[in-house]
Amino acid sequence: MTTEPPVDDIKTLWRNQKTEGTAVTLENVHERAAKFQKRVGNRNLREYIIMSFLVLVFGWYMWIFPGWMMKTGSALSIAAVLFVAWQLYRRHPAQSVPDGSGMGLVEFHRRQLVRQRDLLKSALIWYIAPFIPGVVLITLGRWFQFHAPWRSLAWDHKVIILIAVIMALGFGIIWLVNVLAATKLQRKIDELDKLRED
Amino acid sequence: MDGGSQDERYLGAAAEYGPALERLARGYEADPDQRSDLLQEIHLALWRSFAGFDGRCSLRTWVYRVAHNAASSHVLRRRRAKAAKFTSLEELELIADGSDPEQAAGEHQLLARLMTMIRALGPPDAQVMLLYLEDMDAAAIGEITGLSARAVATKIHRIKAILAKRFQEGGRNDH
Repeated sequence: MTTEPPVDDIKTLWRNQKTEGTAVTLENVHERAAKFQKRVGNRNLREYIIMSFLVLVFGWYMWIFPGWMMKTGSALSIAAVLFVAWQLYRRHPAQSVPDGSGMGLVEFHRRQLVRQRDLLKSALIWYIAPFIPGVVLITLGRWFQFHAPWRSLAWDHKVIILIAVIMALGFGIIWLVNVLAATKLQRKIDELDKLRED
Repeated sequence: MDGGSQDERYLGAAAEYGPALERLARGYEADPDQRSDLLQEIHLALWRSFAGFDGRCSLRTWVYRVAHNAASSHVLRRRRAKAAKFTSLEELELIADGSDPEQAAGEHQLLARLMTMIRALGPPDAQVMLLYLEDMDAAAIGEITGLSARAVATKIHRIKAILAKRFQEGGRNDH
């Protein structure tokens, strides 16, 4: 025969459970705060290195590409990289737990969901759109001002169209995935609102 | 508030609520390394929060809010990384536990089952369940979570039903 505790005893069981007794000292907390700041610094450094590499690549393109369209497209791409780098820096959380940790749990959770939703919804504007003018100009430059000498003109145009379609599809898929994810988050936000209003 | 009083307030809260915070971390995180990491994250959030604590709510409410918010941020980050889904209290009421009541008789196993159940829940269900297990009344749970009184009452009703079903059914069948 098994003896199961009544519901109220489960609370007692929960509160009297043996824990690991992990000691967290004030020094641990200060150390962790410093470590997190260092991690943020390292993350920013990594992003600066990647962005610098992209700026160098597009700078090199500016140098070697023929025609004003491809050169301007490369310059616009550099501007896009710098803009996205600034946006990433601006949007990264500066601490492991977002601000407002002392607010009610539902409100805090809602704010996190809203932040994620807005990030997804606006990704098209700050993450994808800045690259479009540069990509379009480089593609137009390839069409009007430069042809691969090892292909016929007709074939070269087909290759350019294919690449343009693949890029458009890529942008479209990223946008669609973000919109769907944002819609899903909105449903969760609506559920939370209902719980607060009931 | 100066740094010294922030440290003092943190130390006072950590001394008073340390064991409860550890239980909370156990409720959220199964992996021992991740759990220790979460506990430190909770303490860091708590220490940081005291720079802005204005005493408009009780210390207990503040500590539980900060701790649960830090824990749910941690869990959501981990869930996003693993693309795992949460279960709701409503779903938990309907699905079978699948564990053997005979085997689950010991306190250790009961706690393990309870933890598994809590960890499957998303916020705010997991939070209400943990606060209920800490023996908070509906008003306190409402103040900490920000849920309406009706929503808290419904959730507590469901939690009681789930606990009764999951942890007493086996025992009754054996009598």
